[in-house]
Amino acid sequence: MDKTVGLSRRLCFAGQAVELRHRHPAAGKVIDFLFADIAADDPQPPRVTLDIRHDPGRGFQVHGSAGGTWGAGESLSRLAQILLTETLYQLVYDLEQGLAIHAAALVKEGAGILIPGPTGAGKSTLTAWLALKGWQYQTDELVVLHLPGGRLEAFTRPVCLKPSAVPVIQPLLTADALDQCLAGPEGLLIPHRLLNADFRPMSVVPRIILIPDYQRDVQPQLIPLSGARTGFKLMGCHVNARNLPGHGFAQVADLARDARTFRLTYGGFQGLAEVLDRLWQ
Amino acid sequence: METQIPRQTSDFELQEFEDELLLYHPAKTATFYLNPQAALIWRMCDGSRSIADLIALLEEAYPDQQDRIRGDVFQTIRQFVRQGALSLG
Repeated sequence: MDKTVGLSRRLCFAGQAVELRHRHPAAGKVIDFLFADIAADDPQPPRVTLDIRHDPGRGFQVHGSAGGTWGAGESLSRLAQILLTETLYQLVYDLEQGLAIHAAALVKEGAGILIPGPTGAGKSTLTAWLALKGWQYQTDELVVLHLPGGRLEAFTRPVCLKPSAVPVIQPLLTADALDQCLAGPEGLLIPHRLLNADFRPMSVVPRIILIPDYQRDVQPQLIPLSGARTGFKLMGCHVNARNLPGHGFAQVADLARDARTFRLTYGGFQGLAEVLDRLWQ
Repeated sequence: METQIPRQTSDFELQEFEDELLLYHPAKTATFYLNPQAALIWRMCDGSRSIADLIALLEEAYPDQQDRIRGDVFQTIRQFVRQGALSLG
């Protein structure tokens, strides 16, 4: 469903809002492609408006009402990356409710699974593969854990594969599916319903945390991590710490205590499903 | 250095996990993980004992590790001081 009303689309997430404006049909299609699962109807005023303009000489430009201009040329893939980066930044900037964690999230057998990690840690690649295996995709990038309780709210978007990860996942997709992806030098954006046709947003408590550790030619292995090591890892992925009392340190520690955490070392997908099945044994 | 008395600074917040610790320095937004050995040394640095006292206590408690305790204690305390987690009096 096209959620872009006229030339404006509001993105509402975790009590924050950003407004996108555009005047070009292709920009509207990119917005719907990226943000189809992001609410548009919360009443809060937008923190910032991103105005997407296009002129034949310079292509697409994104102007932020709080400053900043980003040029995408004629590349819709580049425009998509700019919008993803800037909207997430703005949605988290003032976020004071809950812990925003740089993490992928999936659900399997009712349990929430977090895959935290910095950019480049392999979250999206692993998440895409798990989604293809039937794990229920929620996000490959960001969750907010609402306190108390820790139920997660996922920023659901297409899976964003970096160029180096594209050859790993692309062969697993059909030609029809690939036609629905957005490809460019920045990588490949895969609509998550191509991986999980029965997507449902699920507000669950994360029970399992997987720290991805890709190593070439290593057999898959799950290594339990202590609460302290988990907390240390999570603090490195905690993106709204500065907005929270005590920087959310105590809440992150609670999350680390309550979840079962494993370092997942793997060098490929062979044997990985069998190793991960042990999480439920 | 052995006669100096290490004391935990008040700049850090602490979370305890059984025998491990996490320290967080809000001003530096820095988190430090302490394994069981480092956590034990940290806990003993309450301003009541010198480094020599610490070493003696640990050598008594862990006689089979006497050959490495002195070096480990010095190394760990130096690291804590660099991180600002301990002061030496």
